[in-house]
Parts: sequence; structure tokens; C-alpha cells
Amino acid sequence: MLMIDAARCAADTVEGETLVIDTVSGHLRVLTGVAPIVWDRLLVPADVDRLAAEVAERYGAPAAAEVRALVSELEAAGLVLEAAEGAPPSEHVVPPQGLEWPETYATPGVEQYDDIAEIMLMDPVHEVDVAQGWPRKATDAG
Amino acid sequence: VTGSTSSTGSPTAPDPDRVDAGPAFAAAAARDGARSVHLRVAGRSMRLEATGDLLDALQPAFGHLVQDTPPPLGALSFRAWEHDQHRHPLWDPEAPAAYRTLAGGIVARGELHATPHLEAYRPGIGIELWGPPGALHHADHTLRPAGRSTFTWADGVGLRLLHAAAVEHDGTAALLVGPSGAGKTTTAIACAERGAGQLGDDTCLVDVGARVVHSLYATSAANPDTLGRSQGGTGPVLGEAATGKVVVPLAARGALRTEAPITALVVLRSEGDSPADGPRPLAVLPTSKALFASTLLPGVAHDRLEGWFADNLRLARTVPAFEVTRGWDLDRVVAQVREAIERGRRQLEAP
Repeated sequence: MLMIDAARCAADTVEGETLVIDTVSGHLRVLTGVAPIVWDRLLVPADVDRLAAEVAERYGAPAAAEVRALVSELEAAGLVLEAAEGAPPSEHVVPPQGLEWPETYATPGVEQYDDIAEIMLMDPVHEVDVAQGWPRKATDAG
Repeated sequence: VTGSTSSTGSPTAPDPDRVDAGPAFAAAAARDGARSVHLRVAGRSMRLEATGDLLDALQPAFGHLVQDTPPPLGALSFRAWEHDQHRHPLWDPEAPAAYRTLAGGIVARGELHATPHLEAYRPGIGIELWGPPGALHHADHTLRPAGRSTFTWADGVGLRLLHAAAVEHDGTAALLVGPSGAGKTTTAIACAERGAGQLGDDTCLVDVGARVVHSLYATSAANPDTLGRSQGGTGPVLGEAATGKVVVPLAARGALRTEAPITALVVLRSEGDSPADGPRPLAVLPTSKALFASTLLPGVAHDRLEGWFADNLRLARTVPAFEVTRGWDLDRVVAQVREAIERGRRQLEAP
């Protein structure tokens, strides 16, 4: 079972496209085609095999392969993680919007914008280490 | 110095949320003299206190916010102090260059022309800007004095600091957004020279829920060639920023406003000339993308990305947006910005 790491990212769907901000890396992604529906389904723990089977039945095997590839891409980006079925919902869980599959298939796409991530790398702000109080670089911790 | 016992578990480490340099500031003020003024920033009172002649150096940035009355008790403190930065109890070259404190403050070290400085915002203590004699008279400090600290304070009181210009026409305002080079400063200058009120042409404080823009700094950094194209020429110059841009006071080019309701988002495109048929309405999605591409300021909101993300979307959904292509027919560009503000106002007033 996989699901969106809702503690890591914020997302919103606008005019059929889902905008996703990764609050750790700063990458902004825009999900297009059927990708917003896949994202919506993954807001709760989902069996990817079952999801792919549903897509294959509706649109055919090539579409199912594209959806699997999308999920793999999101997983590689750290936005999707393993989730136990029936696991208690975390405080970050976002309820699905119940987006419906469109009549006509549209290839899922992910546009990625790096501007924010570059700003974050250029000018990082650190958090105070709760255990140490006064901030120190990691190498000075000992 | 107080608060030498950390609340975070270490018995010896000072707690950056509690270390208070107030007594040291008072000693410096007694030696070098200090003056203070009452500022109103987005409806909040701030007591700006500076040693020596530093208040004069900060006047172009904050002069439009000065009140005739003394600041009330409880006003946010903003202390600007020219003194050796290593004497400040928060100075620690081994600490990260910028770090967030547990109480939601920020401490940041910086360096301009090989001269270090320190700025901090701690809830309950206020904003501080420290640097050796002469350092804080640099143009970058006139442009955004204690910028990161002020922005962190603003974030804590629900105000979003956006990288955008804002101009006012007949009582309501447009936010001018676009990436660097899109023409925010050029457009803002052109609007101001043709009678628009100015709220800022680099950074603006926005109350997203109330759809109100507040002015913060009345200074601007512009490319010298941009100033050369303006009607008034270069005008007074406060200095050169580290980026090579020229820092100028907004007051020299037109009227300043301290706040205005936002009735339009104007997304500037730098290609081609403005079409004759007026500003093009923009849907929520392209407006959102334009806001995401341009409104984040380095060191400001990137550790609060969720709020910035949500506020940008809220603006895109609640404020009418228009695209204006910034050609060199500046009369036409200004007319389109005005038209966007008026059309947006009518849209928002419609039942």
C-alpha cells in the first residue's frame, strides 16, 4: 500500500491540474492529465496493483503502465511512501476530493519547477536543535 | 545579558529566545546617543530606536511610516545599533548563518563588503540590527533594514511578505508580479510618475485574508538604465546595493501610500508590446503559476512554504488577475494597469 506523504507536501487542484509543493526540497510540481486523479486516490492508502487494474479496465494496458510510472516517479521524489492498510490516520491526512476519471484518457504528466528549491539551497534557514539549545554545526556537536 | 540557562535542556548554553542585549544597547545609547520614532507597520506599532546618526540613514526606508505620537507600551521594539557585532550576545561565528529559534524567531549573520552584521527577531524581545560603525549605512541596509527579521515578525502576525510591486489608483491597488526582468520596477516607476500611489516596488506586506496590501520599505533597487528611462532621470541616489543595482527613495518619484485594498493582480510579461485591447483577464491556474514563480523572497518564506503556497492560491482565487505585456510604450502600460485595477474593483463590487 502506498500513500501521499501529506506531512511533506501541500497540494491543491485548480482547473483540472494539481499543484504540489514539496516543503522539504522546495520543488513545485504541476500534475496534468489523469495525474490529479491518481494523486487524489493516493491521499489514502492505496494498492497500486488495484489502481493500475482499474485504469487498465477503463483505458487499456498502456494507460495502466503510465500510471504505474507516475506513481514510481512520485515515490522516487519522496512524495509517496509505504502505508499500512488500516493504519490510524495522521494529523496531516488530507481527505480525497473524490475526483472522477475522465471519459477520455489524458496521459499523466508532471511539470517540475526548481526556482524555489534553488532559493532554498542558496539561502538555507536552519532549525535550532532542541537537544542542544544554542545552535551548533553538526560537526561541533560532540 | 539574561537567560543564560537554556530552556532546551543544556544547562550552560544560552537560549537564543531569551538572550537580551537591552542593557548593552542602553549603554551604547548612553555613550553614542540614540533617537527613537514611532512607526505604524501594517496597523501595528513599532518603536524604532537607533544609535548615533543611524536613524537618519534608515529614514528613506521608514520615513513614510513615522507617527507624530510616541509609541504605546507594548509596541514592537526595533533596535539598530552600530557597534562591534561580536559584542552582541547572539554573535556566534560557529552557528549556522541563519537559524530559526524555537519560539519562532530568527537569527541571521550577514556580510556586506567584507563587513559582518547581525540581525535577529525574537518574540517578546523584538527586532535587532547590529553592525560595526559605518556598516549599517550601507545601501543594502537602507533598502531592506533587518529584512529577514522583519519578514519573520510579519509572518508571525499573519502577514505575507511577497516579492512584488504595488501601485494604487483611486483608492485601490494592484500587485505587480513577475520574475526578475519582467519589469516590476519599470512599471511601478512609470505608474508613480503618472500619478499612481506607491506601496513598494520590490517587497510588499499582504494581508491575504483581508485582501489588503501594506507598504513596508519606501526604498527601491533599480538598474541604472531603468532609472535613466524614467521621466525624472536618476533623481536622488542612496547608494549601490551589493547586486549592483542603485538604491533610491520612492518618495522622490511620487506619492506614497501605506495601505490599500487589492483589487487586481497584474502579471507582467516582458515580451512584445501591450495589446491595444486592454489587459487580458487571467484564469486562476496561470495566475497561481505566475505567483509561485516570482513571489518568494530568499530567506523569507522558504521555511514556511505551506503558508506561502496556500496564500498564493488564495490570492489567485479571490483577486481578479490580468496579464499586461510590458513594452516600451509606458503610457499604454500604465493605462492598462489602471484599467486592471478598475475592472478588478468592479468585479469585486459586483453582487
